[in-house]
Amino acid sequence: MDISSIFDISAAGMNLERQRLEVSALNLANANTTRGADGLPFTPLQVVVRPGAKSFDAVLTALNGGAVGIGDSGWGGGAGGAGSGPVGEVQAADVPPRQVYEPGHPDADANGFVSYPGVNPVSEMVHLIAVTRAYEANVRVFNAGRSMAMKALEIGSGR
Amino acid sequence: MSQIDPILGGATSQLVSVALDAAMARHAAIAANIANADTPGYHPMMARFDQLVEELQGRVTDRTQDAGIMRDAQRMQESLRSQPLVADPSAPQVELDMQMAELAKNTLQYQALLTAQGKLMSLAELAIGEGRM
Amino acid sequence: MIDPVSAIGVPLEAVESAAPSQIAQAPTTDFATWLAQQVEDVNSKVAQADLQVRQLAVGENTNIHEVMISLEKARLSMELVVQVRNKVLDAYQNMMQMQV
Repeated sequence: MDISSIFDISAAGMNLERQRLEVSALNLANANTTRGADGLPFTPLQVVVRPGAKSFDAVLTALNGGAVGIGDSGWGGGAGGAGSGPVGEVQAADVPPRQVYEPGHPDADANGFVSYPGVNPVSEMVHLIAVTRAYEANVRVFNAGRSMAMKALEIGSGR
Repeated sequence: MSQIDPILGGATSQLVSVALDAAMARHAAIAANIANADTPGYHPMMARFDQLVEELQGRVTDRTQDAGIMRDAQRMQESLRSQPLVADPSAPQVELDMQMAELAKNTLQYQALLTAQGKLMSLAELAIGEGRM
Repeated sequence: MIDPVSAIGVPLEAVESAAPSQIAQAPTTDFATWLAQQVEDVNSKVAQADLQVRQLAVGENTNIHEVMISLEKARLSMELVVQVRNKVLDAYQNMMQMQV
């Protein structure tokens, strides 16, 4: 188990939480967008998490002394190489639009109803709180790993 | 002690020197990426050292290849001083969290290498100074 | 009251059995052989630490604590041999200065 894979996992976690934040921000900003660039109402988005490209067995074997195949190799890999961290996909949420009766609105349909995006501001705000806490947790894990490694550098220097 | 010569001037010092140069280059890349995080059209950079240093892996534990390793490491150092940074093919845009993580990893690598090299040198110092320092 | 006494004796036995084995070799071989063994030991420890530092440099083995511990082991072995040599030399010089 090398220290850089620990950092990669936390980094991937932070990246995921930031993605979630962006998606939430986008949803909230477009809560009242009745007509987007394609002429349709805005579709709320969500981040669906896949646990990473490798199976758990492969990750465990790699960590226990197999070839270092977790994304990057040692220190030299790129920033996006965490195969064992979470990977998020942005997908459209399957939420029906809100129908509001506004006959004078330019986007009203034949019955006078306007379709607003089905964005629930309350749940988005709660989501934001969860995202913040998860991000902080990842940062803490990262810092803990870093201070452990720094302490390891002090082995034998307390003379 | 027959092992002092390799420690003092051999492949290990050369490798550590290349690795430290690589860490500085990586730092420059990360600094550029973070500074340009909001610049439109900016492509993230990485240190060219990384791919080359990985080529040395698997050969360094075999002492019979020391001369070859030293030559390769020295060539790497000289040829990469002129153009240390290239565009990173794996990252389409700057992701700040990943850059911060890379920064911490890189700093740790730099400090670990310096500490380890210092300790190795002090071993030789111990033998030379007869332990009466 | 035999039981409490033997209960106290148990931890002592545990400590005796954990005595370091390298130092315990000394009484069984002569000093020159032991010193030669220790020098060999220092050689191998230093060589191993050297290889691990190389691996750290190229990113092959990023177990920092392993590298640091190897370096520390090498240093301690080296210090032992150097101090033993110093003491032997001091003893020799002392003997040479004795008025016959």
